[in-house]
Amino acid sequence: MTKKELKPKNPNNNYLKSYSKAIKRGQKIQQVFPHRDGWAVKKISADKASNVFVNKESAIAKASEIARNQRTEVLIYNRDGKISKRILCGAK
Amino acid sequence: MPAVIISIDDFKERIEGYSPEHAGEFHVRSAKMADQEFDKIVKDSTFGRVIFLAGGSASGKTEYLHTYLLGENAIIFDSTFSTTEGAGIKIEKARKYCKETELHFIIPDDIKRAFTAFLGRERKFDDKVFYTTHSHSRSTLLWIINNYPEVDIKLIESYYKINELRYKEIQLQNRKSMLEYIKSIQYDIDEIVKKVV
Repeated sequence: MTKKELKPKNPNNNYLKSYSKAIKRGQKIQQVFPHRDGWAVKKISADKASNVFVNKESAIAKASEIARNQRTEVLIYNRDGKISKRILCGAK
Repeated sequence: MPAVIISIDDFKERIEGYSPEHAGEFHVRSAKMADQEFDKIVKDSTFGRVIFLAGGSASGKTEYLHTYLLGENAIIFDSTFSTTEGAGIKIEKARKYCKETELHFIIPDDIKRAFTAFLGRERKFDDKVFYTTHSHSRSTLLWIINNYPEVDIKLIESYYKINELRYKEIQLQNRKSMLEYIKSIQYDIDEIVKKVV
């Protein structure tokens, strides 16, 4: 198998720009998910959790506070890894 | 002659009351409108070629279309091909009207990056849409390669480098090695979920 780089015929178009914007917005999103010590808060683009709380409510409160400041959103995950709730915090 | 593009997402914007925050609620109607448009154009137009775009949500299909395919002399259908039934109907329609058929299948090199774009874009869908389209479009691709030898399949890898979405064509020696490769990238929904968490 080989991979051949494709040279863009229409570079810098608005669709490519929108995709980059979506990635930038997505990277700021805060996640709340089950952790061995309780519930963790983590930015999507981060490798590690920024905070871990014993209870879920405290984790959501912290994630919401960060999301409000960064004008993003909070995703709350189930134990099966699927998103159970999405909280918008002035996201744009 | 420039390409004729049929896009389910474009049809959403034509529906009264549409808002990107509730895009998921408009999907069934817009998909039906796109299907009807495809039926009409494939029957009436003089284009001899149909290009189907397929792959999971936010893998970069529409971006690929607008970067590489606008000048193609073809009907382009921008879809996910999440069901074999839907894909089969369209391929059969193209065959009925003697069109050459290509499938450009977009595979993200990093599915987590595609999920980040999916979550960050203005059109909002339930996360299940992401898992389902990435799993089922791959099984549809496998089904097409087994059932439609006349469809010319191009495998395109999308990747993100220096803040820009880019593409590579995955080249395999023959249809058999393509089949083996496609088999190796089949994932069920739970496996997709594990990859993005």
